[in-house]
Amino acid sequence: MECETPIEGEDKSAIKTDATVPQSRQNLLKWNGWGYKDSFFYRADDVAAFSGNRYPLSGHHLPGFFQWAKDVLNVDLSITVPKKEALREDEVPKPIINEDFMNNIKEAKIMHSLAPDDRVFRAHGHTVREIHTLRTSMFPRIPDIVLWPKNHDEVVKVVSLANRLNVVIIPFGGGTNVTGALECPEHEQRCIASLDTSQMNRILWIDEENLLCRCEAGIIGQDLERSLQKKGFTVGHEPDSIEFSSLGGWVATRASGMKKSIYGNIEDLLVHVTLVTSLGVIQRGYQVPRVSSGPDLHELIIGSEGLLGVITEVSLKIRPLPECQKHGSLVFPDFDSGVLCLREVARRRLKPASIRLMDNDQFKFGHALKVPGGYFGSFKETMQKLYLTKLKGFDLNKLSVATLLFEGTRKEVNDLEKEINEIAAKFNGIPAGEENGKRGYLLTFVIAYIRDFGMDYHNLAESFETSVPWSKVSSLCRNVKLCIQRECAARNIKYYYITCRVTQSYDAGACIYFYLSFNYASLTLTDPMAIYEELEAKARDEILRSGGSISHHHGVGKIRQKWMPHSVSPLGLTTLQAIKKHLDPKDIFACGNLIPPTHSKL
Amino acid sequence: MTNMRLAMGDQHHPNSTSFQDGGANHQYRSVLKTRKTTSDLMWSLQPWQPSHTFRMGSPSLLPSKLVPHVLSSPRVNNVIDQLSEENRCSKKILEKQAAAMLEEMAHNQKMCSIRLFGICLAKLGKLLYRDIYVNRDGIEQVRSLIPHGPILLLPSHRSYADFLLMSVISFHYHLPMPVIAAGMDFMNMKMMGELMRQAGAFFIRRSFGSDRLYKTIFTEYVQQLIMQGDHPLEFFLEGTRSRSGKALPPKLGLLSTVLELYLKGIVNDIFVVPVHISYDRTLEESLYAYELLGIPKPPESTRGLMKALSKLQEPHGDIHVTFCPHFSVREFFSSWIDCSPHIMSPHFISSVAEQTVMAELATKVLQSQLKHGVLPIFPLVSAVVLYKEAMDLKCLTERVSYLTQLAAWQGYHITTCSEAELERVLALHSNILEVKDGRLSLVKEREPLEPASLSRSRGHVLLQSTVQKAIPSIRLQHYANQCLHIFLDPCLLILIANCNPVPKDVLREEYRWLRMLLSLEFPTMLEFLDDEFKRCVDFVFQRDLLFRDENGIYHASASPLLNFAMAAFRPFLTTFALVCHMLAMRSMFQWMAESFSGHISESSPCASMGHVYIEAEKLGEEDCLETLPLTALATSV
Ligand SMILES: Cc1cc2nc3c(=O)[nH]c(=O)nc-3n(C[C@H](O)[C@H](O)[C@H](O)COP(=O)(O)OP(=O)(O)OC[C@H]3O[C@@H](n4cnc5c(N)ncnc54)[C@H](O)[C@@H]3O)c2cc1C
Repeated sequence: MECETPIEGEDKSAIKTDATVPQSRQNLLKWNGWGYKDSFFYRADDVAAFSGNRYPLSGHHLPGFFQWAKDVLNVDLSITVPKKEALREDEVPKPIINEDFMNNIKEAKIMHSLAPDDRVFRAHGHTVREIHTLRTSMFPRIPDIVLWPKNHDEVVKVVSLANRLNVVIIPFGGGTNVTGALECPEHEQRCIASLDTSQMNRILWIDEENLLCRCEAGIIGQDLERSLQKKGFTVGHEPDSIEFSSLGGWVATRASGMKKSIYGNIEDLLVHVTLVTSLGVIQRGYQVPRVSSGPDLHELIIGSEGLLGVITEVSLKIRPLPECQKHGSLVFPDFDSGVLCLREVARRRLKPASIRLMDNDQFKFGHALKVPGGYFGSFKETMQKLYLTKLKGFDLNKLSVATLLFEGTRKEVNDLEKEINEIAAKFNGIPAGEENGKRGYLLTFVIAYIRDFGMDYHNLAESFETSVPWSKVSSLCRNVKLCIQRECAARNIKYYYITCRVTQSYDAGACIYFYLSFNYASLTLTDPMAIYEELEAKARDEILRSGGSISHHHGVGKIRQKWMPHSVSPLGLTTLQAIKKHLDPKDIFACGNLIPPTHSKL
Repeated sequence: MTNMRLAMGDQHHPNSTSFQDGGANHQYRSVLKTRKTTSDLMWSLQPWQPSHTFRMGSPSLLPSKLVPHVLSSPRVNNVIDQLSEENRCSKKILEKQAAAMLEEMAHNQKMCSIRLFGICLAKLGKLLYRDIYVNRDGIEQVRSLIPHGPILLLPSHRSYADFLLMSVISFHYHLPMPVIAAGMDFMNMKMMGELMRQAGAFFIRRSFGSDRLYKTIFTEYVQQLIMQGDHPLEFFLEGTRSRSGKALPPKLGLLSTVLELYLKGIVNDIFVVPVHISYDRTLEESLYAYELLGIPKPPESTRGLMKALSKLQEPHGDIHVTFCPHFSVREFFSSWIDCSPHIMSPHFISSVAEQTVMAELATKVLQSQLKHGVLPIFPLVSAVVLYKEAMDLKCLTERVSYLTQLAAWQGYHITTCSEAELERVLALHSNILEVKDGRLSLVKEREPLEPASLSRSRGHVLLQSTVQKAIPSIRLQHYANQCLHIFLDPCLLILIANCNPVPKDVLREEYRWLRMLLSLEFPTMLEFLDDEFKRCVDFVFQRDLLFRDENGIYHASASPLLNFAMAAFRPFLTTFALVCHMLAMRSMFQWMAESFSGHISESSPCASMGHVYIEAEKLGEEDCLETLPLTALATSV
């Protein structure tokens, strides 16, 4: 790596954050899986365990987990899938170098690297296919060079060079997308530069009076929050990938955070954004709360998935840290009752920071990850179980669980909790304690680690999500499960797991999040990955047929383009294409996202 | 050898028979056997646990809770809002009306009533029938489908007994009890109406074209029944019992309402199970004959029923119930329609697919019934007699086995054609056919009709002599009609070629044309006509029914089927010709205008039936008018 340190014209007031993720990502993160190198699930004799010390689950044994995996997915611990232990540099495609561009980059003192591991690290996101590829083979095409511009001006320089010299640019944030958005188009002959924004991670200013902050787009979620919270503020944007995803990535994928009910989704939080396109910079001329000046160009930038340019700086709303945070949970006799309750909470416009509803299978999965006598006293739980089943007549195979997070003043939190408990009672829901709620949220951070573990044992897993009107929530969830059931049966797949939860509530509908996993150990499949993708495609068809959308927050990338014409209408798609063509006539932002190839040639 | 009754023997009761169905082996099991050896009471009181049912989500509602649930649904609220605004009437009144409609409609299924019904039906069944056979694989098929989605049971409809039969079978095999769509006629029967509700029947008006409130209540109620998920929905696609014995053109209203659930993405799939029910002897054979002549059926009443029951002491032979292979609505639709226009609006906004698609689906069901069902031997006997193929026993046996062969080659299931079996069915139908010294003849209608009933006939006057002559042959035709579909395709080809030797493409065109002309007579999927044609041409070649000369021209062979073809299918064609002829006459025009007044009401084809018969007598054509295909009339008009 050739590093050039001095930053010219450094802004004195900017806050340099301590970046959690180093410029050499490989020093901290796994090259072929999710998260920190030191954190992973492993087999300690006949018990599953989680390593490291970063998460509440770290250093614990999970005695129930293997039994669950055996019961539900028929996991056989005696056979593991062979995988590559380390990146083999000889397998990495040789870079295509544009000499002119190289010379100019060096001259402009832009940090860059041609190292194979740097390039492979930026060649992918976190779809199951990408991880599978890393473990078993290699991408046919990866970035030829990685660039680390340090600020907006350097990005402008890089983009104009690339445009002049016909070099492809793919912006890279945290690399956490789950849509294949970062994958290089296989047949791209030009030099591909990955523009890593990670070194643009300063908070440029905090405006307490207007409750705004302006940041460089490469800042990672956890760094942003940590820095702001030190000063008593929060953005409140918490996608489950907050540890590793970047502000620019959030904007580029139209991300959604768990606490959106109070703080809003990225489009609600964003007040100003700067985009560097191949023809120049697009931005508003002022930092104001709202404008009426024709169609809002922000809407074009949010969700652009790297297609139109590089997001360099973003102004976000901030809030003072809440006085009090409290978790809660509710148990319902079945999933549909829970949905009715969430619907009523939304109808009344009550705003817990988060309210999620897990179906029965997810509730059981959560149970399987319990730590014995661990931090949530098991005696209490036994009592609760007795109470539920014996006294309330709940069926452990049907009940669903809602987890809640409240934020506000102590009084607000208590009042809201009371009100929601009353609504729940109407739908036969009963409070099930704070600990259960807390656990529910903690688990979301380790689930991605579990997928890697499952892959060792012939299990492929992935999540997908959608948005849907309230009245169609129940039927959609049911239909998708039945669809998977049928499609698995048709492929002779006996062991699979499909589960869902409602993760976001809106006035007019909800976001549903599915996990799908299947065991291919006993199947003679040449390409289990293709089967997974077929299943997910069937599920998406069923989602659309049940009145749901192409995506609520993951976006389209490469893997959901098939449904774009239906989603935005064919004319909508050509409109998008026309805009792209106008802003990027040479197609240097040639990531190939959003617009299906059949349309992009128009 | 196909269609052989494996476990034979009239002496000892057969309790298991089987038919090959293109590789699939239908095992038919006796339902009555154990009824004859063990206590009906104990049977009806057995601990009854239905197979695991499909769960839509929340626990299903009791029938009593379903009613308020429907009344407070967004769909019903929405239409009440609209109507009260449009008609400036208070919502209260409309809500009352809605409640009344629903009360009239709703079933009130109770296990205790079903058990009670069970005892009665078991006793009655044993009294009337020798046995009831059900294909066990079909039952198991339904059982395996239940957890995966809503089920439609769509039986053929030849008799009131169909309805009871399906419930008894479900009870017997511990399948979840179906809820059944029934016509309003029953509801007015004292007690019976309520009893039927308790057995799971719900009542729908025969026509409610413009009544939006009723239509809404109906839609919501039916869809809720399915969404509740724990009962298969049973209804008769043909809408009413087929008097003629042939499949009736399907009614699409209820079907569309149900399928909307799929179109709008509310359910993931719907499984359609066609069911074929065949009777050795139809309970209503005489009633039907009179009705067909235009003498209206007496309104259903409990007393009427009792009276009818007391008459039913004669044996009625066997019943064969076939649960045909199911198909998935999802798979059917996937090649026909794009659901996306249907998902844009909320669930309660109706959105119905094109009727042609519905019609194709319905036709598929009817065809499947005919294809997989078991046909008793008597329809073949009737055809042979009716078409004067043979009038003595020896010939009869020969001819019937020939037709049985033809049917079997085409993959149809017919009960065995043994001498013993022939003897049995002839005895069973001695009210229609007499055997004297080895010769067969039609039994003349003995009981003359009271003049009062004669004058009740609609639109025309019937002579006593006409009635006496017509009734026996109409009765016989009721049976003969049940086997016509088997011979339709080969016969049409033979008729075409016999009329005029033609090259293959002309043969195909004429065949298409005739099948389309007859599409209300015989369920026809236009989409697959060319396939049918191919299959059938191969068949008639193999069996030497047609031959091709060196110029590629197709000729009819002098086969034993030629006469049959003429006798069986000419009446249909004659009917069309005749109606055209009548239409050409001024007076007829007027009459047509009166009785058909723009559309064909339910009763008018019956009325016109009698009329045509009289006309035909005048024209000296009655020979081929034994029983005129009713719907042919409607079509030709
Ligand atoms: C375990 C897990 C949990 C997740 N949970 C959530 C969640 O709760 N909510 C949610 O919304 N998403 C979630 N995601 C998806 C993902 O984290 C988001 O899409 C996130 O916004 C991606 O940000 P990133 O910085 O990692 O972007 P990357 O993956 O680096 O890039 C994504 C796309 O954006 C483009 N891009 C990135 N930065 C820029 C920039 N500065 N300018 C222009 N284009 C740019 C890239 O070119 C690419 O096309 C999750 C993913 C994982 C793996």
